[in-house]
Amino acid sequence: MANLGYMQVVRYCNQYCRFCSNPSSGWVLDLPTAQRQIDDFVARGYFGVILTGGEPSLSELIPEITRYAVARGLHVRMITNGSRLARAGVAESYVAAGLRHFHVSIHSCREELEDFLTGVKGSFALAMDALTHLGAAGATVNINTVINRFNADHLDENVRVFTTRFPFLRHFVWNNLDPSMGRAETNRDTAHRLADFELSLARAMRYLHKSGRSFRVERVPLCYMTEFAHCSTETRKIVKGEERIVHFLDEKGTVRQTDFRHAKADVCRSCSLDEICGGLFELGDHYDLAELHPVFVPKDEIVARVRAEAD
Amino acid sequence: MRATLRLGLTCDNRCVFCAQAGLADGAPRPALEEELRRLRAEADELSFVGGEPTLDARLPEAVAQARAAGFARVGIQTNGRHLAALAPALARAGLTDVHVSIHGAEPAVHDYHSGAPGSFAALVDGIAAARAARLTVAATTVLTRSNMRALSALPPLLGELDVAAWLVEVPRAAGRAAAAFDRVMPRLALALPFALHALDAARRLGLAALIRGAPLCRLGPLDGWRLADEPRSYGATCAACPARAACPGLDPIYLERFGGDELAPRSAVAPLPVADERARLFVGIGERAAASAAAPPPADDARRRLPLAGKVQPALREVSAAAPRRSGAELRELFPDLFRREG
Repeated sequence: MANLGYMQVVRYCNQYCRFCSNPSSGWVLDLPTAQRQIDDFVARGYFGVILTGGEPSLSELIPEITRYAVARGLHVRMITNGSRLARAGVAESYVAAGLRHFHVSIHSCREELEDFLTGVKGSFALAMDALTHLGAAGATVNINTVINRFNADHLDENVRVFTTRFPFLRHFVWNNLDPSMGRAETNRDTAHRLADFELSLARAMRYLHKSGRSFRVERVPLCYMTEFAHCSTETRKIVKGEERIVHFLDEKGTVRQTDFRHAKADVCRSCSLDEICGGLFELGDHYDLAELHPVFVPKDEIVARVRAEAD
Repeated sequence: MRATLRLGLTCDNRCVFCAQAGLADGAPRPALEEELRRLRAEADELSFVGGEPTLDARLPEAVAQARAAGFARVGIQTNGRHLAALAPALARAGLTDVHVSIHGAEPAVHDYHSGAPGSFAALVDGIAAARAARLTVAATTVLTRSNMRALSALPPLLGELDVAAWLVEVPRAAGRAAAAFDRVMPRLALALPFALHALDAARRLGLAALIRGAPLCRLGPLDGWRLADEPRSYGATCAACPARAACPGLDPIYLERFGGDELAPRSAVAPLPVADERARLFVGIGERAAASAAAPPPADDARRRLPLAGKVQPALREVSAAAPRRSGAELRELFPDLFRREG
């Protein structure tokens, strides 16, 4: 098992995404507490940690936290909007400290839309600069995208554009919008129905698969990603019996998630993938169980693929 | 030409896509003899349709009357659940063919679609009985989100059951298929490749394999496998398409829901050849329920009418970025276990 622990480093940000699920809370992590979190992950046998936020690169503690985690034997990643990494030297300083794996959050290859979604004009250009610097520094770079109503129709265009411009991108992560918390709750224009992204997600996954790249998809029920069910984050967690600990910088504090099965429809009982499907995460009042439908494909083949592939 | 005669709307299946759900039987029909006489003036073949015609006790007599009225071939459109018991008597009455609905090659798939546990086993027995009675058997499968990936398992089964012809039908958003649109209606760009792959497999086994209701631009060079269908509705790109006159287009609710991004002008298509005799068995269900108020309202267009405007609203529990930062000793409140564990 390769569990990754999440550490929120700060909860402030220099962007203002319409669907942010971890908006400003006022809390900031300090080094002693970060070290306690790292020690705890080591004691639990975790593979690594993901530094997140808010925008973690706004913290001055990143090199120190990274060095401590690496010294304790942990793999370290960061989820970032890339804006600070657009500055020369920042990427190199992180890589030198041992932080060599980045998930850069970009939601659209259309500049105007990306700037609109992040609430900051120029954020697309900064993200592109960050990718350039990270590539030059030899870092491993993934693209994280929140599926929302504005990009639901061009997820495939995103991956084509990004992989053409930055061939070193080898892995993509899609997180389906969580409409029940954060700013998505108050900015309802971001919420979509599952069928809105189904086709472009399928095309994006096929493109990446054909080009030898990998990807993970979170919060998408398997009936909307059946061909690549083995790439579902929830399915992988269920099959491998993994857990996920997140240290939130808000009233939730530490959350240890061991159950990745969420709401299901009655018809899901007919589905051959019911046992390994996460269902609909956090329904809010938007996603609709009536969108779920059974599929009839061999479950064992998917389980075998999950077990055969490294995370 | 083949005519249809509805015996009623009663059915013992509850198909997830039933386009007749919600229809009322309506005004009394003319006497059977009179209807047969009228239809015989228009056609030389006849199919009894429903609902489920095998639930009507008049069926054997109706078949005999139809043959007596001069119909050269008489069939029934059926869910097949009662054929095992009825096929011999119906054959003796003059029935020549049956047209069954089958929605998967396994009980789990078919029974989910029929809404009737055990219906698959009864159907398979019914097909076997029909063939034993020397009736021609044709089969239709309605293409859904749930069975599109399971279609390729059907041709071997249909071949084993000695079925003569197979039709994959793109559903219309009517009746239950409208009320459960999101659950039933497949995205055609995803579903049709599975359907065509399965049809190809069926043709290799010698079945007359056809598709109805698919826009021709999604069939590519396999447009010759289509069965003619009445027009549905068309996207903006269809206006200049040379194949439009022969194309059924898209269901209007589907088009409104997803837009016409899956459509593209294509080359003209050759006229359909004189239909295979077996294709004449696919008469359709006739009257359909309206999309009705039960259908969910179409979602706002997710692609074309989204203004990039509007100030971002803060989350309900969001703290101002200018608020004092909380850290240091206060973090013990958030992570008590971390501090408790290490004393």
